[in-house]
Amino acid sequence: MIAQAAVITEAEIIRRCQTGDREAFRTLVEQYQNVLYGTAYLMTGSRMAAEDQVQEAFLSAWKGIGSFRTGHPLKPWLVRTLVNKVLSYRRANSKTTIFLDTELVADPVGDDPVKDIEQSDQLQRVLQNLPEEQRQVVLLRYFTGLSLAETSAAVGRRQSTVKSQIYRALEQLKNLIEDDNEQ
Amino acid sequence: MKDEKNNFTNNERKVQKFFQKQADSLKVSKDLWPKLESRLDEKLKDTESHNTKGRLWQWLAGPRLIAISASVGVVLILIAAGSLWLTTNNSANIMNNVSNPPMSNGTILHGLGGDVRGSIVTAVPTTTAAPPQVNPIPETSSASGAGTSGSGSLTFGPVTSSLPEATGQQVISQASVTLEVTTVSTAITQVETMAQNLGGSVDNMSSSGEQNQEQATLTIRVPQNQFLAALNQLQSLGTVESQNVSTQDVTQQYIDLQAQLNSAQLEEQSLQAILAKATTVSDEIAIQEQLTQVESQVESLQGQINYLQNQVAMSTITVTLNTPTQTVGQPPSASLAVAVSDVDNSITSVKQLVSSVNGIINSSTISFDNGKESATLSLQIYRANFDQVVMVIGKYGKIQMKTIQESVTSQQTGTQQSNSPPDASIYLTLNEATGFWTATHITIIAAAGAVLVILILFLVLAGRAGLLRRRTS
Repeated sequence: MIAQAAVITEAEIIRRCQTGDREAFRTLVEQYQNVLYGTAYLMTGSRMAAEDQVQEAFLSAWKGIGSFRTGHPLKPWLVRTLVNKVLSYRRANSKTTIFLDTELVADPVGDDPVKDIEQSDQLQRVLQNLPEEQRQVVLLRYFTGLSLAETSAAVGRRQSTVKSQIYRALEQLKNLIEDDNEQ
Repeated sequence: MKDEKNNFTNNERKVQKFFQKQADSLKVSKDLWPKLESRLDEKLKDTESHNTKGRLWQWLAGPRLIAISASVGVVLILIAAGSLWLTTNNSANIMNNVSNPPMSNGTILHGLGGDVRGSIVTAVPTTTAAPPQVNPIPETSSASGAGTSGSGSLTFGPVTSSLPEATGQQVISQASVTLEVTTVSTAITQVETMAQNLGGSVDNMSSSGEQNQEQATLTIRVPQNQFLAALNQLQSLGTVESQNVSTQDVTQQYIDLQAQLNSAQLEEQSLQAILAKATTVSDEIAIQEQLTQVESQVESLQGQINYLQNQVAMSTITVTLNTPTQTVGQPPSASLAVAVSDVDNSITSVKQLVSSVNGIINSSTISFDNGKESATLSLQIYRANFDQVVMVIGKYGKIQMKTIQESVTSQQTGTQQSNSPPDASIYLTLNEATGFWTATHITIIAAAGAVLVILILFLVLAGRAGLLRRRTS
């Protein structure tokens, strides 16, 4: 029984979702919610906004899964949906400050809140110093785990552009991480 | 190069590792699913369309909306103005053509193009010394019918069609009838008696010719309600050679005149009141001067109204009486209005054409109206060349109006040319035809310009919006 369940591939889950199987969709949500949430949080800097946008992205995915071509990886598609949601959210709320430091303090998570805060805080400070475009691609590439091609599709920029942005970002990140560690 | 690549991979690894560590702390606070599941049935489209609407409104709000509305407004105004200009220009042209060509008595009219309802009014002879007119014998004369030649629309037989009644509508009815009678003098008496019996009168009468080739023209006025009765009675006096009935609606003109009269009368009254209150002599003189002007205006308007009322109340019928012994055909005549691209060139061409057929140009008038040139020419040519000349002139441009009066084919054309002057007349009006195209061009250019302005505005605004967005992000 257990072995059978493990055999179910993502393609099969998607196919079931396409027939309106909510349980199958739940599997997908549980599988991707954290990575999407992390991405959204790092892009918006707000936990509430991140959760809202992840929800919106999943809702869009549920409505649009009928048109999803099975055989393709789902994650890049979901991430692209999320990025679009976040970007339109940010356009509509352009005055919102991104990466609010207080948010983490006010709303800690994890087993060891103090440690979590420290780590997230460090990451945020590092990321905050990157230009917006570089920050986006670095996030999607190394945090979300998209390939170069998927990243470029998600942000709507050419692969070569994305590649050079990543290169420049890495140079800066390396220095910043080192600087941070030294402190 | 290799070191650089290694460095890059090292950096990549470091960052990757770093991110992986951070990922553990970034987890959804609680399970998303319960919230999400309750929303799965939501109509996403609604929210999206709402968002789209909101976005669209946001995009439109402010200067964009003003710019777009203003541009659309400008385009509409330009198009409207262009069309208006076009319409007034065209109608002015038609009016011009209608009023220009002179008509001869008893003309068989053939209007070409446009609304020429009012133009089919046969001219009434105003002088008693009208030149003797010799009318043709129909080639096949029968008791009821009559022969025709040339082009024209004729109504023979009893007139049964109804004319517009004067129920609020002011309509001038006119007719011209050419009758073939055995004795002209008897027929004149009959026409006079008939007019009097119907409550009308004979306004004008002229007769000419010898005993056997007598001709008479009478202008009678009968009350409008007796108009059709008069026509029917006239037809019983002899054989109808031609008959032309026309009506002209002058309601608008009447209303306009009435309105002008009312306002002039009001002005008159107020001036009189002011005059009564005037204290100084200089004031009195000034007011009196104005009052005199207004009074003469009132009189003139009243005169025009009276004339119109008279014309409407009493219908005019021009009766031409002929004896059936004519031998020579009436010379053909034509009135032409042609729209040409270059009036001067066309005049030169006409002159060359006329001299090539040994014709005469009686008069040539060139006039300018609103920057548009037009010319009126009166030509006399031999009958034999008539058709040919009319055809050639017609090819100079677009024919706006063409009226041809032709009698039976002249039997003595050959001898005519040798011993009599050219007597076939052509009245030609040449109008400059550029007006229409200029208006169209202006409209098109204006519209294109406006579209260009919109496009530029849009690009500028869109560019600025993009810049702003980039700055804020």
